Amino acid sequence: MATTMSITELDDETVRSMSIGAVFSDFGGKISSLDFHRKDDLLVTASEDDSVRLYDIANATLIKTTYHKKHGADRICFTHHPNSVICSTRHNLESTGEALRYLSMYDNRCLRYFKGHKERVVSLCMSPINDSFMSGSLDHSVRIWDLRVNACQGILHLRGRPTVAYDQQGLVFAVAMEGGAIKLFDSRSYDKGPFDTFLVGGDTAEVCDIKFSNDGKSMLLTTTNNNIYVLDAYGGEKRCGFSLEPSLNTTIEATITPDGQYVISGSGDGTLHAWNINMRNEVVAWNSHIGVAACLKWAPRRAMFVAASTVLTFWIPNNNSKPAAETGSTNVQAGAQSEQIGQ
Amino acid sequence: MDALKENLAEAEIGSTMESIQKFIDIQRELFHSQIDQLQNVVVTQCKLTGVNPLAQEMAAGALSIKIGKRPRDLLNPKAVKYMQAVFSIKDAITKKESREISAQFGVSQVRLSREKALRFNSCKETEEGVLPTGSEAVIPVEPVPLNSVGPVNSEEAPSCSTHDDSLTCIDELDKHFVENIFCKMQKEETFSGQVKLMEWVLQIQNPSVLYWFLSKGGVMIIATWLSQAAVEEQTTVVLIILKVLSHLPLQKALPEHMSAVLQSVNKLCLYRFSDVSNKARLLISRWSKMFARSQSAKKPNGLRSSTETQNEMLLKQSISEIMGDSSWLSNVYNAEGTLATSNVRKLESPLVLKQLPASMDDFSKKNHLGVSGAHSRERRKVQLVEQPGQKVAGKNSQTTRTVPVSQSRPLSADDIQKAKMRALYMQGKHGKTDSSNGMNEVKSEGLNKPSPSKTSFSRPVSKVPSQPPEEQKKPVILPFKTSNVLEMTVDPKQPVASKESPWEKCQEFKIPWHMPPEIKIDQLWTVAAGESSKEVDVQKNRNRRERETFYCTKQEIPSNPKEPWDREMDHDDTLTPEIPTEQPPDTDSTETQFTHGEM
Repeated sequence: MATTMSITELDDETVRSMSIGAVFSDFGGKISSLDFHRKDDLLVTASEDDSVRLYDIANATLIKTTYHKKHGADRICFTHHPNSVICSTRHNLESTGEALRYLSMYDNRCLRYFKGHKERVVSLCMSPINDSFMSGSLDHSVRIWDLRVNACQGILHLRGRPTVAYDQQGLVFAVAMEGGAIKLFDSRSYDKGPFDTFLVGGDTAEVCDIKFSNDGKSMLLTTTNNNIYVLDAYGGEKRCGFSLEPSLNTTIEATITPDGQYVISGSGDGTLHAWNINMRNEVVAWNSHIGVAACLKWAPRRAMFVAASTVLTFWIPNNNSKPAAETGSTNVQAGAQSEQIGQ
Repeated sequence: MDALKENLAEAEIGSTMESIQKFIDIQRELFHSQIDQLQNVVVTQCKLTGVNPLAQEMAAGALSIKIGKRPRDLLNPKAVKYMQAVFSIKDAITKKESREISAQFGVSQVRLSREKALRFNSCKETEEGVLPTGSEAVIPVEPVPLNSVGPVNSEEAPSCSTHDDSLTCIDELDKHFVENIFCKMQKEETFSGQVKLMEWVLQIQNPSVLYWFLSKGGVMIIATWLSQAAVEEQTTVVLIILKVLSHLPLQKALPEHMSAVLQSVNKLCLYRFSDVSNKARLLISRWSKMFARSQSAKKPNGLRSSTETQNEMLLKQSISEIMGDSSWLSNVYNAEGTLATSNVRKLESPLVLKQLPASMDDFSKKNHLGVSGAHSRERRKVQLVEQPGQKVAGKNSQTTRTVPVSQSRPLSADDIQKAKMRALYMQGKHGKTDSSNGMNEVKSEGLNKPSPSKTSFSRPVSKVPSQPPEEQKKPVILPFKTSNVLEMTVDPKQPVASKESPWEKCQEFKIPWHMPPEIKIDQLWTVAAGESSKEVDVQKNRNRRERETFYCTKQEIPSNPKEPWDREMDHDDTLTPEIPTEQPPDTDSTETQFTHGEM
């Protein structure tokens, strides 16, 4: 077994060398969301086939599968305990009202129900630092919860589709509202209202995803018409924007690498792209081989990312490949693969 | 009555007997008049509406049931059924039984009296030969056979004993037959005598003699006897007459004779006893087949008198009417045949003499019915389903035959419509909902609408070649089909693009797994990792207490996770604090303690 390398930052070469290292295709439907544990090498997926699966990303193995036929599994995120997740409900919402469920994969038990949302939850985010979490729902509300009690801590009404995200330090959370407005709230005193508002003008589409970089400097926005923007997290200025192919009936996802250097995104034509934020150039584009990647996340502490549609793929750097001669959006993988297979 | 009322009002009730008596009398008269009035009202209502308004009460009275205003006082439906059963016994028993019963009770039946009258009277030569003297009840025999019997008999009567010139070289027995049959037949009035004469006819094998018998109008007499026997339910007579009819070479019979016989035999199809009805149906089908053959054979002759043509037309129409009726009524046939008989009587009122609006399409179809030689009802049904599509196409001779016939008799739009309706009904009745006629309608409507589905058009196309009347529509439909086929081929092309499954594609490009390198995160960034989480300890402890659940096989995994240990009370959502979405007006400059740069 090769010694695990430890790197502090990625470079263009490594990013270009990323290839599929593991494939899991036994899903009975689309994978609707996935999440990494912050510290441990764990990945959890929620799928339209009502399954919640736990994976070991270090060894690319499936640890556990559980089924949730009554409620379904829509959005999912890890809590701080490696066996506990929060999952949003897909089915029977009107009858049960149990829109959010606190599940333990350890003994396959539901620990708590969080009632309040009347419609499907489309955005779910756990605070990085404590037991709070936030949910944004199609009932035009954002709710703040505490894991330990089933009482809602605060509710926020807005128009349009809500998207919520905590920053990586857990001090601020952002809520995207109608009209391209991003409002920032203090995690400890959100009852006072937002302290800042960014306006992402010029794009009338809704923001469907917000991500903060680890260094706190950048904010990544994805809109429903497949444009991604990198904003300055302090002032809200647009640093760069990239336009991807539109995709019908499905949103794409973009992710920032842990070093804050690169943005990886899916596209409506089934390709994956990587851009260098500082250089603002596209470093590489790959064919996802799985169609439009509705879920795309880079692991918090590993040089790998995960792309999922109806198939789950783990992308890892290809250590043995020689980088292609030129940079740019060329499909390098074919060449890299043939060399790899030969060995 | 008003006068009485006035009397009543005026009369003072005195205390004397007479006054009371008078009062009572007036009252009685009043009541009587009221009853009379009520009776008039009820009778009038019954006449106007056809329903007796006092039916319940009268029935109750007949059964001595007290009837009141409460629902349970009304006649028990069971009782009603029993009453009806009693009153309908007349339909259930045979003539023979009714005769026996009435003999027991001393009631004389008509036919019996005739028999008795014959025995007492000498054998007279009567014109009709059938009507009794002095009997009041007239048996409702068919007027047609009788009418035609009359003139034939008047022709034959003088030549009863003369030899027919056409008959040559016949042997002794046959000669005897020829000489005597008609005299005897015309004289014969008793059923038993008729049976004997029929048996005699059956013995004759010489075809020329039989032809002679036919030409002399023997069929008419037989037809009359048949109808009489049917009315009197003389089953033996009926059976033997049917035997005779199948024995005789009726293809040489004159059309007017045949149509008369047809009527009688058709009625027998609904006879009470199945062997009679089956035989009758057999005969009818055979005759229609025979007639169809004779028509095609006669066609080349060309020279026919107008009366002959007319007679043939009548016969054709009677056959078609009968065939049509019989298939219409096949569902109405029941074991008793009582209900059906009444229907048949109604339907046969448009008699042979009337011009029946049967179209030639129907006629040719019904000929095919006969051609199939189906004996039973069930088989006929099956044949009906198959034939209109296939046989009409196959036999050109028949199409040519029908054409000139239709030219001679113009069909009105009404007739065509009726024929189409009838054809539709028959086909629909025999279980084929997507009949060719239905298809015709679909075609005519759907020609302008390009339907995307292949199946709805492929059927009309396959049916089109089998229907000559629809020929003009053929060229229109075929281009449609081709265009549809083109449409169909275009569509499947698109999804064909990726045949490989995603898994296969991924396997192509997959590199062997190795643990991806860790990325160290700058400590200065203070990326949080649940340091302030309390719940993580709670869960750790809980997991220490609990046993981990493992599922070895997929089947073991339950559909749902286990429920929480304790169900908490629902939180009151109205107490949830609302987070404002607008920045507070005075905090823009002052509340900037949380800046990202200091992290």
